[in-house]
Amino acid sequence: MDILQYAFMQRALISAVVVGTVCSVIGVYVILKGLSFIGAGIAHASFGGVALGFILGWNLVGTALIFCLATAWGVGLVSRKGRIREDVAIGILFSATMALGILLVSLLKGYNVDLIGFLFGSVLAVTPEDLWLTVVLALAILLVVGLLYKELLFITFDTEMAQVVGLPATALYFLLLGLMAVTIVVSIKVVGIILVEALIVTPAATAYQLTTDFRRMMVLSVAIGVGAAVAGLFFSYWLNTPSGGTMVLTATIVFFLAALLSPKKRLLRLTRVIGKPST
Amino acid sequence: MGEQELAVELEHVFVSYGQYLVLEDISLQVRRGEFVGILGPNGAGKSTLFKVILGLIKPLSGKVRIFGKPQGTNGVLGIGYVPQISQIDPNFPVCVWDVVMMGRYGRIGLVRRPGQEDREAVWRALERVGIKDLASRQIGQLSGGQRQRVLVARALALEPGLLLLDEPTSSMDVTVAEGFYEFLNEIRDSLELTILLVSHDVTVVSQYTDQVACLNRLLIVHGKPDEVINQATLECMYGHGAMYFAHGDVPHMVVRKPPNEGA
Repeated sequence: MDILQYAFMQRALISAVVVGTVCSVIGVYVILKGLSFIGAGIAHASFGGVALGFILGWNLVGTALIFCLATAWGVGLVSRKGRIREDVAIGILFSATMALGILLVSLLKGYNVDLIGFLFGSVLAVTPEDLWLTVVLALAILLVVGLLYKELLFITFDTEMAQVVGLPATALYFLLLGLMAVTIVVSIKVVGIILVEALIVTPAATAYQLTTDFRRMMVLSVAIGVGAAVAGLFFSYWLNTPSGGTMVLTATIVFFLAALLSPKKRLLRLTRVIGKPST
Repeated sequence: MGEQELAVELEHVFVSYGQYLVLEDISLQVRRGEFVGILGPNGAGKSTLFKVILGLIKPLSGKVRIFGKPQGTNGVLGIGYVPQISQIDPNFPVCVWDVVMMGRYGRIGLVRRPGQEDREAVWRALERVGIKDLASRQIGQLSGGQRQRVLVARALALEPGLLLLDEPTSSMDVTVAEGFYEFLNEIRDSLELTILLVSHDVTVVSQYTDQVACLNRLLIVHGKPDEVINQATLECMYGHGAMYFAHGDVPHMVVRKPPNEGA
């Protein structure tokens, strides 16, 4: 593979592997707990953060992270209080932060290529500093998930019972939202704000079609996510197509294949059982 | 009555959701080793009562004591809880063993992994409810009755002194439900448990429990089933039109919906 002799391609490959891994790990929780709409909301919120970073000349990852965490926890808080429905809160916040981003961009006067890179991803433009930050944050996410493996599984399966047996269920839920926010920030350089949700949801949803075991779902999800990201990267190089979109479409094709071949035909059952309002 | 003899003690408990009062002035005493059925129509506040006992909801006012200690003072008080089966997603990729082990997670503590003692407790709980051979099955591959037993095993894995069950027989037909009540009586004796069970099934509950409490926002009566279940309490709980039949060994009731009233 002579294309790997380019440093930018090596960085792109490492980024694809790292981002494919964290997105697929977090994606398992997102799928099973029904957080995919929050994920999309968080991702779009990062646009406001990136635009603000440009204006202020700050580190874009830092400002994006602040916007994403604020959105994730804001939605979490609002839905806990039960005054506004969660999907409504997401709908409002997600478009508001996007609108703020657009407003800020217009202040920049003139077309900005970097900003487009954030929207649609530009894996070939990953700098050595970007790569370091990605690797460190990704390792931190995986460390937290590894340490709190059983707790995160429990709150995903049955939050109320987790609280009953004495686990800090609310804190763990907010931690999970925080992990999602960091995952999204880590990934937007590679696949972009608009497409990152697909890299989180699709591999995990594919794995869900293929197994009934949580650990196996996690392993399969990572294998599919990394496979799709790396394959997508090479396809995009050979076909001269945008990398983010190619990765996502590769993952999508794998999903439909899995859904067709799934022994359980669970495609239509990917709906969470929503508990009746308790009295 | 000595304090130690009381498993659950509620004194003038009020609970509201927003401006709506769900529980009003509830006082209830449950002795150790008792099997108490809490009856009431849907929306009577039965599940809320459980959440108060579990410490998940703080009452507006009133006192809650579990085995003599105020609820909320020291985290886990050894209460096993079996939620309504509809709270559980049967398609979730976990096996029976994993679910029962979750009952131990609070005891194991954050970050730490289950040890030998926890594995033994899980086996004991599975054996107790008679589903040891199903340990590696995914929960979606079980019948409603088996899945209910998994939830009981998860509650027992905590090795509780008090067991709360929320509508446990809703997914069972009558014969399976009767077997399930027999089983509850059995573990009540062998594990020295105090059991509180919420249901809207008047006849079955009154046959198997020692005490019955009738709840409809207010606690209407509390006493032995044959003293409590009469025309007056039924009307109070289910409205006029509730008819009570006593023929043969099994009394039963019907509720006729008045023409102008909703469900």
